[in-house]
Amino acid sequence: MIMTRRFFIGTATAGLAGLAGVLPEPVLASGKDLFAAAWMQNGGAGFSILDGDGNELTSVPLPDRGHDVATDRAGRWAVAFARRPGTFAVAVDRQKGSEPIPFSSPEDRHFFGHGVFSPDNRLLYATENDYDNAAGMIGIYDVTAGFNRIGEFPSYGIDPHELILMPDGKTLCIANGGIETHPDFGRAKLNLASMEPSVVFVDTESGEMLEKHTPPAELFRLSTRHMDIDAGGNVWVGCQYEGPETDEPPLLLRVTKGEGYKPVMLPDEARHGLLNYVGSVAANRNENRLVITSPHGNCALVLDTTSGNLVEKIEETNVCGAVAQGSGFLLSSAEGDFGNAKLGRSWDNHIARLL
Amino acid sequence: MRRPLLALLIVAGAFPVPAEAARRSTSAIVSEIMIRAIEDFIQPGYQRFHLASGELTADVERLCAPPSDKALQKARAAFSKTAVAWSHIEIVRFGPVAGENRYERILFYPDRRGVGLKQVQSLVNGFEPYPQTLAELQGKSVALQGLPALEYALSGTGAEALASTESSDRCHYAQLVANNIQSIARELDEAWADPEGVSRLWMNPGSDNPVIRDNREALVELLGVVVHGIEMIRDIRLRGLFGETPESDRPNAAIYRRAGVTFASIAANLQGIQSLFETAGMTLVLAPEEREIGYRISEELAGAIALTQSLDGAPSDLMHSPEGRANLEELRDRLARIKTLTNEDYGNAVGLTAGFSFADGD
Repeated sequence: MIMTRRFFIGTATAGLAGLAGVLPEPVLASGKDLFAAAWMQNGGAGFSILDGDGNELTSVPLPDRGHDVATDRAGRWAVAFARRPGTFAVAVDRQKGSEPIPFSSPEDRHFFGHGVFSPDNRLLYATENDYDNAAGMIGIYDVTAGFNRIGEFPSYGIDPHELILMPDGKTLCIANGGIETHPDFGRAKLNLASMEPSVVFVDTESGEMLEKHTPPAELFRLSTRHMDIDAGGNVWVGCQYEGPETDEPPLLLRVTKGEGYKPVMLPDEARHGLLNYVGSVAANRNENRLVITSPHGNCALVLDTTSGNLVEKIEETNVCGAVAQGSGFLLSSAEGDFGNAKLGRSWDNHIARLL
Repeated sequence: MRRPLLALLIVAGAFPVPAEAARRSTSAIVSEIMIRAIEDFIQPGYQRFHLASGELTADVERLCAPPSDKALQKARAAFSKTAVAWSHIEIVRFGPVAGENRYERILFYPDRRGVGLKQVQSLVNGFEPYPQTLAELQGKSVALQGLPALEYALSGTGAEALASTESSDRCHYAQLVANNIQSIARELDEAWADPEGVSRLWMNPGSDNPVIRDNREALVELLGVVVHGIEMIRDIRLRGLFGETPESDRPNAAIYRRAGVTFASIAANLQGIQSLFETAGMTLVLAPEEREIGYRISEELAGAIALTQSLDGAPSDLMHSPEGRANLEELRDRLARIKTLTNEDYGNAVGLTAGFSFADGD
């Protein structure tokens, strides 16, 4: 069923009102790194703000499964997005500790689970599906006006998933997964024979496409989905392959604006261990390290971003969430692992750092 | 030679055994389940589809020279048989069917924007030239190559003329498509039947195996076939045509509606899931105290199959009758229960804490 805006807000508000006693207190950085991640537990969904030791400072219910959390640079907002084909997002004001603000995609759009703030924190960009036209869109939400949707521009591809803001503060890099879906058919993939993955750079001021990089024809089933940026400004893109399991596609691409992309060659054993699926990508820019995770392969690979060489393989059941922490990474899993802590929640695919 | 399943059952569940021994026994059962899934479900499934497609090719060839009402009826019957044989095995989405667009070349569905239909209509209406050779057909859109295209050629608007028109272009096109389906069916049958081929990979998990490394992954793969199969029936077959309200119904989107085998196909989908679940013995991997979950899955599947087989008539007629709608709603409810039982209850019971679907791609 497609939730209308009115239906969702009613549902979400009811769900949140029922948990008024645990609505967030102001959650401010106090010298400790803070993180946010979505979870499922006993059929219920929510997202939490917690420290690296797994201590939850606050927890906010969601009407259905969430995916990633976008955070602003002023230490104020954390916004959890629905997993596709969900239509809700929930914003928490960490400074005020007021009631969470739910908002929705328009009726003919749904979210893909990711978003990013503008450098001045006034706008929030979200990847969305214009599903009747099988077109990816970037929805623009006005943070200063209660996350009112004020516009959109194309993602210049199908199935935009993760997006990041480039260091220039005005260019978005968008991973278009290339897979057509429509909420009338649940999460079914409708165009596997004609997928069109791409990595696109878009100017946020004009909404115009600056560059588009597509895998070669023989890799048309290589869905480009998750990304992070290294200290040198290169974008590392993790992929999920929709072809035969016996194929050996590159699962990590390094995209450099103005130059194009190069596949990152991983040692055979490490690549096999991913089972053709990368669920999350996170860079540690201070240490020139990158981690890619595979919940299907129950492993995470740490690479050196200067050489592209494999540094470490971590084996952990259902591992997926990843974010830089200290000189390494904080990982989470669907089994409840959050760093070294074990909580009774199944953590979704991503961890966001709160600034 | 394989050990009798009963012996495994005794080892695994009937007697108390030390924890380590129990782990080894469960591991042995998973291997057995994988072997049975391949030898008793996947290999015969593709073999049946291959055989049916061969008969279909022969019957379409006979229709083209000389044409007759009887030959047309026979070709249509062969189409239905092939579509149902495919429906039985189409829940398998791993292995060779995932390569070279084989799945989509056999079945381009759902056709949400009617792209395939428009392409076929362009051929039969003379707006585009028909492909003349199999190679030419294989170079065209996947929507022109498989079962929905052949269904339209044999049963769509203007198809009655096939019974009386000598050497028609439309009949030649139907021949090419039938040939193409048979060719893909042969590839799938032969690939899985090869003892040194793909079946060997899937039956022998190991650390150096590129597709499946241990018994846990093997079990997850099989459970994935079951869960994704149920999702496919619910989301693509049923929800694609049966709306929450009559206004949102789309009976014309029903699969194989022109051939009149919409519900026979859905029943075959469900039978494929049942066959995999029961023939492979997926209940046996559960601890004895958890096996009730497996029995309930079997019971719900049997109920869903019986209900689907009882659905008679065109989808549009069913949706216009209160009784038909009630039956479709009951099928939807049953599918929801089977999804929960397999994804969550069975998934949890075999150690997938968050259920099977949690790790599904995003």
